[in-house]
Amino acid sequence: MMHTRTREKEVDTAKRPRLSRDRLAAYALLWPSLLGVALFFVVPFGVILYYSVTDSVFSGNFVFWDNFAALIQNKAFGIAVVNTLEFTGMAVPLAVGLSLLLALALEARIPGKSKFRTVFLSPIMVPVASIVLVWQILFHQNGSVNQLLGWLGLQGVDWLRSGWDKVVIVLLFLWKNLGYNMVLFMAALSNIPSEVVEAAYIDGAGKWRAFWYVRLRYLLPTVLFVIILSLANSFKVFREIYLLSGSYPGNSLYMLQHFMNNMFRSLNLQMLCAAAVLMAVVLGVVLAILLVLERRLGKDVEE
Amino acid sequence: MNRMKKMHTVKTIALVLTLTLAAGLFGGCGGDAAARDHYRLAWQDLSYPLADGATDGGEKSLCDSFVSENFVYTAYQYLTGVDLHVFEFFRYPIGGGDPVLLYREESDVGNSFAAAVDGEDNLWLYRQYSAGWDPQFVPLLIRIDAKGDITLSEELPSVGNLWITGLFPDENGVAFYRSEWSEALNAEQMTRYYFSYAAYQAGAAADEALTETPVDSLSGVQILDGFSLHDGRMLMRVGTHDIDRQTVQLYRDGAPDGDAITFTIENASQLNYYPGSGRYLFFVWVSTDWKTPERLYGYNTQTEQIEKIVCPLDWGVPFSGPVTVRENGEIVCVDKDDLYRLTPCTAQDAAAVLTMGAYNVWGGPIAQRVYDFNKTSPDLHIRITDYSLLEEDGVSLFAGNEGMLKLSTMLMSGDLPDMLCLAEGIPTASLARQGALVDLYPYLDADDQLGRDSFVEGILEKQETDGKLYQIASGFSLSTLMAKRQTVGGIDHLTMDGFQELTAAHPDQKPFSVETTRDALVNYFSGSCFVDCVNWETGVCSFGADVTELLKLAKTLPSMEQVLQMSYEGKITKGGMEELRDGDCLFMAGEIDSFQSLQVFYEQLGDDLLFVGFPSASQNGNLLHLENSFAITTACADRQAAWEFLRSVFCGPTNWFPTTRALFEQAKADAAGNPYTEQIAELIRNAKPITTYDPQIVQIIQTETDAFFKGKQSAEDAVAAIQERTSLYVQEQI
Repeated sequence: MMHTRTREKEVDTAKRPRLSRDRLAAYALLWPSLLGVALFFVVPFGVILYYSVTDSVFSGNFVFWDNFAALIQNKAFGIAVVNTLEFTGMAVPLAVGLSLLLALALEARIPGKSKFRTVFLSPIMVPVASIVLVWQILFHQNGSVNQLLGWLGLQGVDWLRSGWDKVVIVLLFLWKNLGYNMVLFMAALSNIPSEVVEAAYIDGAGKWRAFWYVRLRYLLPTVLFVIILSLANSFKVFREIYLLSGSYPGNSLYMLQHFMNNMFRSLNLQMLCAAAVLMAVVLGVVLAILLVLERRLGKDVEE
Repeated sequence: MNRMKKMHTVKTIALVLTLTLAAGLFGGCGGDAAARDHYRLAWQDLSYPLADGATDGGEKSLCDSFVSENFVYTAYQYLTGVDLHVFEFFRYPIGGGDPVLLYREESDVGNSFAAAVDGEDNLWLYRQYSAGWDPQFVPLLIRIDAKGDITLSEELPSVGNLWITGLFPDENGVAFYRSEWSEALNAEQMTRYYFSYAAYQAGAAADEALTETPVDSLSGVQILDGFSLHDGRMLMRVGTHDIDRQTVQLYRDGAPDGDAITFTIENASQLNYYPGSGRYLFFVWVSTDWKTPERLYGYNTQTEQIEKIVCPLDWGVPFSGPVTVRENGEIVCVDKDDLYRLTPCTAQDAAAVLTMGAYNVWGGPIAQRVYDFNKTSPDLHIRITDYSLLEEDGVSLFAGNEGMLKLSTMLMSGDLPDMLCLAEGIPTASLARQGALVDLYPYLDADDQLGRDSFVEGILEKQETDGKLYQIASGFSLSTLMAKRQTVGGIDHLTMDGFQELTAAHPDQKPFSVETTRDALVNYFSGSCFVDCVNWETGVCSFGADVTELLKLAKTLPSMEQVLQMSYEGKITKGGMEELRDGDCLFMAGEIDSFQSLQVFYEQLGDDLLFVGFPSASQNGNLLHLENSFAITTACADRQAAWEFLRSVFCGPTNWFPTTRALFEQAKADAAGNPYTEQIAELIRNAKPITTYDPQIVQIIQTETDAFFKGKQSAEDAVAAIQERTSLYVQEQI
């Protein structure tokens, strides 16, 4: 027994310096990255937090919630929040649902499957500015879509300056993001153990029930991941709208990032920071809920 | 073993990465804190020293100047009341003292002089005839010593009429040169250049005194210009194909004296050479482009390198001219009728500096006011940074936004200059909200020279924000529409309905003069909408039917490009004022910036002119544009000093109507004979003020009107889009 202990001790002492050497190497490799994260994310967020509760860059008096109160009373901010929520509410479920459908469709044995996959993936490779250019050609008042409608004897629509503008942006968003989401779902679908699905079929489950009760359960982590990804991308749709219609589009396309971008231009750092903090908090809460959901729903599948 | 090797590699990479980053970080933080010389600026007046009575009138123009270790020499040329051409040379001791008239010559025909100063402070003059061929003309060589005595005066009969471009005096005599180029090709098939060298031995027999020799320059290289060095050598600047590489060739007695000196100054678009002093063989003022201040370089004979000596703008002046560096290190430079000296000093003794962030003031009257202030203020200098120079075209606030973005970023980061001066107005609302601007009322109230009453009635109130005065404009202009009384009858304002009735009643006349473009009307509209259509209190915008009509009217007018094209094709034979006078058109848009400008109107139309303003529902279509607004920021440590500078601006000359009452009244009194003076003064009192041109609203309006003009949307759609987009913008701001 004594002998065994001594051997364990020997192993420990032999491991320790090696572990500490490894740890040293790990830290050495890690610190540039940590420094980068601190420098470009943690410190700026701290600064933004500070500015959101002070009255100006120059005097720096604490006003606590005043900036947030002013922000909430600002009509433009209200419009931006409503528009962003509307857009996210429309775009994210569509992006998740359609990409899942596409993944399922491409899973089936259909001719030209790989070509379809390439077609859906290709928008990822196109730069945003080029996408916007194509969209302008398509949806301009004198653009291709209206020309097509004209051939069909229908009245053209000013797509980007009417109630249709949000639909156009949702289409653009879907066109840009469906491919990537689809690939994620395809990967997830291929990872579902086939024996479990086969067992469901043997137990008498139809295609729908096998999908709903088995495959979707396995897909849930990916669904949640795609939701998070689509949510983040929906907030980034500002780039496309900005390139299509500038800092001040019509009321219905005015998003939260327009508000923040414009606040920067008009030197209103306090309002900008308050909006950023508020957005970060809301997104944080939404993400937390999604992660909790993922953990709960995906638990039995993992087990 | 393999794993061990991998680990070792990883560790090595980690170590190298760590060391590299650390070195980069610390290297970056450390910087090259090279000690920087400081200078103190002093001025000396070099204006024409003789009273008019002594010179029989005539406008004196400074035509040449030289600087030596102890003196400044100036040459004046003018025509007297009895048509005598006068040439005068003066010498001023550097640092003060009475100027001495060294030489004066009167002639009927207008002789010209080449002049140079040698190392002994002798002034050499070579008289050469310039007005035309005169067979009686005799060239004359004169030497005047440091005491002011003429020590040599010899006629040079043998050279006849020798026109020279360089005079090179030394202890043995004087050399002349003239550069020419020949079309002949040399063996390498390159154009051959040469210069003619003539040496004159003072005191020698007349027929032996002068020898003239053509001398080849560097093969195939053009001599651009030349001048004399203080040691009697000639420095010839020769042309090279490489814009960054400059080459000078030294000559002695007409022959190359050593190798050519080649040096590199990047992007040197213009170089002006002057003879050197002390350790410098020659000085050269270098400018790179129109927006970069000139720098003084010197060729150091010890290091055989060209080195930067000073950028005078860093010390309060932007001027370059004949220059020298004295033995004590003082830089002496002639600027027009003044001499400035930059005396080396410690940082503590250098003048305090207040920074002014500016937009669109470079090279204009505001910049001149700053230099004037710096001239008279040895202890305090204003240093301008003009952010419009960051724009690609460097002209317009609306052309690009790199400059404004830079300025905005700076302001947002709290990096404020001491003062702001924006030609198109300061965004006071946002800056004041940030607490970045100082209320100027307390300074105005405490001032013993200026007060609230010192400004034109209503001007200060028009610039107030919440009862505080964050900016004061130094001038303003009036934008209006003019008509001929005889044509339109006795109206005093114009509504859109009234305008349409008038145009319908005069179908044979154009509504507007050729100069009134759609751009002018849209500009007016942009300005007017800040007042009429936007309620900054409630955030409600009201772009309605009147605006639609105005846009439709604007579309009937030619664009600026069309007018330029017509002008180019010679289709425009009359100016706007002439069209108005002859009844070709009903109205003409104009911007009136001074009472003096009214004189032109009077000369063309007598007292038949009406200032009716642009069509407006508010019955007041005249706009007051406040120009060049100044503000003091909360970052300014010496606000009283900043205010003193602002006072000097408000009390000084301006290119616009002055905002200060005394100057305004003086300008009005100067134009008292003009019947429009009082009328304009009344319009100014009632005009709608534009304190700030909000570039965002202007951009929205321009985008939408442009789409309307190009037929991409209807006027109604354009106005609806303006209404929606501007409302969004305004709601953001309140």
